[in-house]
Amino acid sequence: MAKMVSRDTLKTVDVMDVSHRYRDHGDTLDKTLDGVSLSLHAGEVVSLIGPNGAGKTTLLKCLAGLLTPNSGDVLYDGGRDVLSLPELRARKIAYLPQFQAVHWPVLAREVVALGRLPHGESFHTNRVDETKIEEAMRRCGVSAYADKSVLALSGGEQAMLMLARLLATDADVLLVDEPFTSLDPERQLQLSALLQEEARRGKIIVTIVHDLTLAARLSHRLVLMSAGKIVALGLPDDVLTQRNLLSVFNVEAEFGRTDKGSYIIPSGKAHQVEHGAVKNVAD
Amino acid sequence: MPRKDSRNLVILVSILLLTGFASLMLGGEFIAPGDMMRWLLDNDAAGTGNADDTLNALILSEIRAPRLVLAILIGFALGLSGAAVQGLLQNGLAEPSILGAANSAALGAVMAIYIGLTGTLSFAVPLMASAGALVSVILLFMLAGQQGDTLRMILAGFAISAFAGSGISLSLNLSDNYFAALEITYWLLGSLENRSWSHVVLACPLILIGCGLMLTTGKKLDALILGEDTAFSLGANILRLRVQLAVGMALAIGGSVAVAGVIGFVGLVAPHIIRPFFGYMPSRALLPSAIFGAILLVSADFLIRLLPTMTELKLGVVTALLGVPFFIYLLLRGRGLTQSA
Repeated sequence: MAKMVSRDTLKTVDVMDVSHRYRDHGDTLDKTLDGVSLSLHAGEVVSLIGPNGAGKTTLLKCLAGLLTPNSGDVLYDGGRDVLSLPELRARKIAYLPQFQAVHWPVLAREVVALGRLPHGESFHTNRVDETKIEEAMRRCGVSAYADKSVLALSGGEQAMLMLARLLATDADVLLVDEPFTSLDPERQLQLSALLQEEARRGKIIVTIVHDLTLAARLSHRLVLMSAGKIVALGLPDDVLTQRNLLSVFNVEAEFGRTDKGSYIIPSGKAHQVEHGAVKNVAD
Repeated sequence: MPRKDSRNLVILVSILLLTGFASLMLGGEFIAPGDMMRWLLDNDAAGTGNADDTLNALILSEIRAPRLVLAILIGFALGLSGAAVQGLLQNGLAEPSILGAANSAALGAVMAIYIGLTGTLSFAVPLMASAGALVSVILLFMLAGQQGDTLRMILAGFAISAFAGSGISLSLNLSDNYFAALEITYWLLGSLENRSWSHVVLACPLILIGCGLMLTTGKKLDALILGEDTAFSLGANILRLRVQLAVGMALAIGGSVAVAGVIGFVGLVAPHIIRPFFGYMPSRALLPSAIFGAILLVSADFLIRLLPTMTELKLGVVTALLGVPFFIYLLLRGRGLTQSA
């Protein structure tokens, strides 16, 4: 049965009323996710935005099956198969966590090859594997480092290498936690284009992005989160409003538009005054 | 690259065969290669040949052969456990004893000697040592918990190791029998002196099952270099991986300590020496490190028999004496040794 499911690419992901709280030595902490519902579709890039501690990474980990929600459901194509069968899950969902340092001087190509693990464990990679590995490395622009030790690469080069590892899996769903953080502007654009291309190929892309302009240009839809809840969900222009930024990020922003798209520059910190009025404090 | 790997493996196995052959040949009594070949090919030499042949055959089959087989088995177990534990904990400083199996096995053996079981039951020491190793791995998972992270596992192993170590000290402290205390101390130093085929029979199953468990973890072990979350997302069952390696290590180390006492540094050093030739992926270090461990132990035991010392040096002493300078070299070179290197 698992084989039947695995032949088709995944079309939808449904997050249904998911709540989660971390436990710490028996104490129950505040909810990190509180009744989150969300539907994702093949072919779209969806970015989670929101202040630190809003629950973005927790949501991504619930999608990856790394965390099991305390209540609610995460359904892939309407069912629980994908998350309950580890082998199927590993082939269907690729996950890239935030900070990922490798501690051994392994070769760059070997790291990318790890992306093929879900597709069988034969000791020598087969021809399909080789093709996928080469293609992923070429698309991420890391082919030149293939035979270098990972420890010899810069932070940005390592980040692109990890992305190549993610792509090599050829999963239907890509969950990427803050992939832009250590990248230079050129690589940021390269990565944006890469994720959009993956979406055009019918994949579901979920990322966490802090740069609002980047998020707006990259994504089909944005999910604005705050304190474990979804505050706004929709087209970038509809989500990134002065009012939303003020209430969630506590900042004022300048909005602008060029022929290349819109830009958002946080311009000043807003102060919440006791009686609820909002006042701008210019830097 | 695989072709290079198999070529290197062939070289390692050849070195092992050569050292093994040499250690059968040399010792208190030199046995000519021709005589040895005759013994290897025709095991009945003892019954048919002249007096010299009979003596040589006895030395070979009752003294040197079991000792060589044990050295190979134990070296294999130590080298493999070292590569496995360094891969599991993602740390080049890890030694098989870090999870507590070695000290616990030693405590089991020491208790057997201390209570005086050796007089009534000749195999009390190896049996109790194996039991000690098994208890330690059960304790390890009780303390580290099912979801416990790597750090918790190291700390739990350290606690078990320290507890077993203090148990050993306590039994030495309380021992009113001078000879028992001396026997314990000598035993702890590790040796292959006077080991027979019955020791091989006892250690063999434990070591083979343990090594089998460790060798079959496969490439899932490699995924750990990307962190546990990513390894999970690539389909690795982290808990199963841990249990498989920890149980395998406890069996292999327990079996080794049971017949030879505590032999340090082989497990630490062997993986580091072979990695430059076989690559730094954890799974690729397993088999080469095991074979190299066997080479190290066979050579060390060989060296002991050749050195003209008054009393035979203990194996654990020699491996430590040779291992420490190498360890310092690794420390000074500072590459691939620690997480942040």
